[in-house]
Amino acid sequence: MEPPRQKISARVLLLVFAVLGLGWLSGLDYSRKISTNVADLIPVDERSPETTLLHSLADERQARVLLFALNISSSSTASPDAAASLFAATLLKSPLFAEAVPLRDTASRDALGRFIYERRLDLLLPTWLADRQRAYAAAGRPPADYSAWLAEQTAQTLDTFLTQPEAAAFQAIVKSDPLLLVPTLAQKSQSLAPSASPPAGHSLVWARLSVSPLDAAGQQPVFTVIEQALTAMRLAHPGVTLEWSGVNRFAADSEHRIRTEMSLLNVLSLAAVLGIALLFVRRVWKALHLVPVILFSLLGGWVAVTLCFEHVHILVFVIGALLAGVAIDYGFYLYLQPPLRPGEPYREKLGRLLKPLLTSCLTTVIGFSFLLWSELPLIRQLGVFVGAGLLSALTAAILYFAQLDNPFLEARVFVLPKTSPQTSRRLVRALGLLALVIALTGPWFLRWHDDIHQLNAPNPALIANDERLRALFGDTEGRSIYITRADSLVAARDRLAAFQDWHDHAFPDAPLASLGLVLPTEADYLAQPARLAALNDFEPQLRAALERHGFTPDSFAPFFQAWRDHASGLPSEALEKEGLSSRYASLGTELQAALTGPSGMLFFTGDKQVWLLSLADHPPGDEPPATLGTVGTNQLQTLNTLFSHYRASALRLSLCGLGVIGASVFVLYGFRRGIRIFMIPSGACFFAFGLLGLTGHTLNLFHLLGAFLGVCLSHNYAIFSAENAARGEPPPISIRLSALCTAVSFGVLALSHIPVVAALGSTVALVVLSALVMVELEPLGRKTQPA
Amino acid sequence: MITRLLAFALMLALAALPLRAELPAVLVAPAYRLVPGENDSAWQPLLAALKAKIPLNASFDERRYFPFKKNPVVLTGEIRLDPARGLSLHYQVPEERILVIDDRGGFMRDGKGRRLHDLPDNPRAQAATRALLRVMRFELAALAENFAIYAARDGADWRFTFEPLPGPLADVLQPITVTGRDELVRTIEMRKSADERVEIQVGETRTGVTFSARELTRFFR
Repeated sequence: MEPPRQKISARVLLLVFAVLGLGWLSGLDYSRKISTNVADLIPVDERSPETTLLHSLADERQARVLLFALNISSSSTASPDAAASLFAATLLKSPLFAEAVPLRDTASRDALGRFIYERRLDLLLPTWLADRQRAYAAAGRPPADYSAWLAEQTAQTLDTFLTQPEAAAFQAIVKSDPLLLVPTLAQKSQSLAPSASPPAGHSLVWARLSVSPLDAAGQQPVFTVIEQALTAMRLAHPGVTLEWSGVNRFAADSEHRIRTEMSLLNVLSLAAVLGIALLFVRRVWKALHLVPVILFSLLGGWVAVTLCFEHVHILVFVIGALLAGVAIDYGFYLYLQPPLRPGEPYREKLGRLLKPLLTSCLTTVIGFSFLLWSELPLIRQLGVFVGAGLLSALTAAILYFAQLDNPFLEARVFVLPKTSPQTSRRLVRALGLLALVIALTGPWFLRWHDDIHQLNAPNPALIANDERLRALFGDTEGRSIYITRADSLVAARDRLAAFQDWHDHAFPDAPLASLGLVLPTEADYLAQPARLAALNDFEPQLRAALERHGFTPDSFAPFFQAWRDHASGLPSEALEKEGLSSRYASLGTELQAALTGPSGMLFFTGDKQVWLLSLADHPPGDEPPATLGTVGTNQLQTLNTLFSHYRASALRLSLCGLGVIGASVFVLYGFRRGIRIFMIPSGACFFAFGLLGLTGHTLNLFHLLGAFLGVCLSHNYAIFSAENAARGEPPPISIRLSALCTAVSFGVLALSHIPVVAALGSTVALVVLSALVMVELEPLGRKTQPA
Repeated sequence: MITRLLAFALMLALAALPLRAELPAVLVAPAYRLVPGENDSAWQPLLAALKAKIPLNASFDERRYFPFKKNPVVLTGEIRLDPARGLSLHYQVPEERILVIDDRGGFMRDGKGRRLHDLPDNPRAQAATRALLRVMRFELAALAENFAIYAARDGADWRFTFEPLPGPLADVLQPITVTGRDELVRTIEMRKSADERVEIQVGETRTGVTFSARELTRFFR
C-alpha cells in the first residue's frame, strides 16, 4: 500500500493540470488558431524574398482569383457569351465576390487602353526620353546635335514601323503618336493580354473574391454562391456545364483530406500500439494505466504549442499526435520495472529509476529545444509540442503511478533460441560489420530535394482540373512570370527597372512585358522637364525629318499640339521636386485605378506593398539575384532553394542539439559508458541514412527532422540499457515495448499521403528499429554477456 | 500617214472603252446588292469554282496608303490559303513576317518562326482579320452578318464589294472590294478613305496545291 497522502497529492496535481489544460483549450477559437495554409509553414518575416512573396501572395489578390469555364453543348442555341454575362452578374450579387467579368468582355481593357493613350505623354514619354538620351550618350556625339539626331531617329523609326504588317492596326493613332509610344508599348505588352481562344462552346469568366480563400468564409459560402449562380444560369441556358478552379477548392479539399487522414492514422496508430501491448503484456487491461500518461502528454503538448504560437499549423498536430509513441516510453519504463523486493515503496523504486528517466527526458527536451531557433515555424512548433509533451509525459507518469497500489505491469519474456556465445558473438559482429559498411558508405549516395508541394496532400483530380482551366485561360508552358515587390511605388518601379536590365541581358531574345513599365521611374519623371527643355528645336527638326522621309508633317499637327501642351504644362525643373513627386504618385494611383479585372493582378498595392508582375516568353531559367527584389513564380512553386536553406539550418540545430545531448551523457555517465550510450543513437542514425542512400531514396528536410527525433528516442533506449548493463542485466523489456510501439506508430505515418509526414514517419521508425536491434544485440557481441 | 494611223488607233481605243467598262465604278447600289440565299443563284457556279481552287498559294504585292505619307508603303510576299488551316500571309519584303488567320483567331510570327503577337480574343479585335479570311474563302452567308454584299460581272471579270452594315462592329470594319478574273482573285482592297487604304495585288497563283508538313507547321497554327 502506498501512503494515502502521496496518492492524494498526486491525484490533486494531476487534476489541477487537467483542469487548467482543458480549460485553456476549451477557450480557444480553433478556426483562427489552427491553420491549414501551407504559407503559414514558412516565416512571416523571412529574409528571403520568395518567402515573403509567397506569404503575402497567399492572402493577397492572387490567391483570391477564381477561374470559371462555361461549356455549352453544340446542340444548344444558347450563346456562350450571354451565359457568361449572366453567370458573372449573378456572382457579383454576392458580397463574397469583388469582381466577376466574362473574359471576352473588353470593357476594362478598352478603358485601360483609352487611359494609357490619353495619358501617353505623362506615362510613356519620360521613359522614351531617358532611353533616347542614354542611346545618344552611348554613341559619344556632341550634345548640341542631340535634338536633330532625335528628330531624324524618330522619323526613321516611324518609317521602318510602317513597313511592318502589324502597323496597320495602329495607323489611326500614328498622327497623334509619331514617337510610337503606344504602339511600342502595345507590342511589348502582347503577352499580358489573354490571347487564347477557348474551344467552341466555351466561355470564360474571371472572378476575384472579397474574402480570403483560406478562411471558412471563402470556402463553403462561396461554393454555395457558385452553385446558385449555376442554377440561375441553367434556368436561362439549360445544358450549360461549369468547370472552375480556385485556391479555396484546394484549401477546403486539403483540410478535409488532412482531417480524414489524421483520424485514420491515429486509429491505426492506437491499434498498432495495442497490438504490441497484447503481444508483450500479460494482463492487457492493466496496460490501460498507460493511457492517462499519453493523454497528459498530448494535453501538455497542445497547451504549450497553443500558448506559444498565435497560429499553429495542422501538420503539427498530425505529426504531434504520434507523440503517443514517444510519451509511452517513460510509462513503460516505470511501470514495467519489477520491485527489487516485495512491498518496495513507489518512492524507493522511483528513486532508483529517476536518474535514467530524467537524463533521457531532459536531454531529449534539450535536443528538441534547439529546434526553437529554427526559422521554420513548423519546426519551432514541433519543438515546443514534443518538448512540452515529453515533460508532461514524464511528470504525468511519475504522478500517475504514485497514486496506484502496486504500479507494476508484468511483461512476457521472449527467450531467443540458445546458441553458443561464440556463435552469437560471431553473428553479431558480422552483422555489426555489415551495418558499419552501410552506415559509412550509404550516406554518400544520398540525394536531397525539398519541395513545398511535399507539405501538402495534393488532390490529383483538382490539380488536373486547375491545369485544364489555366490552359483555357491562356496559361502556357514555356512562359516565365516574375513578381517584383517593394514597400513603395517608387521603390517597386526602380526594382522593376533594375530587373528589366538584368532580364534583357539574361534573356536578350525574350523582352519583358509588365504593366509596371507603363509607369516611368520617378527619376525619369523628375528629369523630364530638363530633358524637354533641351529639345526646344525638336518640333521644326522633326517636321524637317518627316518631310525627308516622305511624310506630310502637317498631318502630325495633333501630336505637335499635344507636345507643346505637355511641355508647357510641366512644372519647371526649378519647381520643387516635391511637386513633381506628388504628380508622379498621383499618376501611379490613377494607373492602378484603371487596372481592373485580370489586369488588376499585374500591378496592385496590397498589404502596404506594391506588386508588379512581369511576363516573358521563355521557359524558366536563371533566377534574378536577390538584390533585385524580384522572384520567378517557378521559385515559388517549389521553394526548393529556400527549403534547402532550411534543411541546412535544421541540420545545424540538430547537430548542436545532439552535441549537447552527447556532452550531458558524458558528464553524467563518464567517457566509457557515455561513448556506448552515444554510439547507439548515432550508429542507428547513420545506418538508417546509409540504408536510404543505398536504396536510392531522395530525402528532404523532414527525413532530417525524423532522424533527429529518432536519435533522441534511441538515446533513451541507450540510457535505459546502460543502466541495466551496469548491473550486469540484459536490456529492460520496456525498451523493446517502447521501441516497437514507437516504430509502429511512426511506421503508420509512412502511409500518409502527405510526403513530408511519410518521410518523417518512415525515418523515425527506421532509426528506432535500428537502435532497438543495436541495444538487443550489443550485449551478445561482448565477451562477457549479461546474465 | 502615220498621224492618220495613230488617230485611227486612238479612235478605236476610245470606242472600245465603254465595252471594257461594264463593271461599274461604284458598286454600292441596290442594283448590285446580293443577298445570300435570295438572289445569289447566278453566282453559285463562280463561288463554287473559287472555293474549289483552295488550297492555293500565290504571290502578292501589298500597297498601304497612309494619310500622313506621300507614297504608299509596299510589302510583298506569299499568300497561302487552306480550307481547314485558314489564311497565311507570308510577308517577305521589307521584313519577314507571317500573319496567320484562322477560325481560332490570329497571330504573327517573325522570320525565325517565333510567335510575336496574338490577336486579342475578342470579336472587335478579330473582326477585320476574320472578315478577310471569310472573303478569301468566299463565305458569303457568314459575311452577310456584318456586311452588305454587292457584286457585278463582265464576262470573265467580276467584282465583289463588302460594305460594313451598321452595328457594333461597323467602326472596326472597312469596306472590302475583291476583283478577279475567271476563278482567280486579282485584287483585294480594304478602303477607309482615298488616302487610307490597303491594296493587295495577287500575282501568280497556284491552285489545288498540297502543303507539305513543313509548310503547314511554318505557315499555319
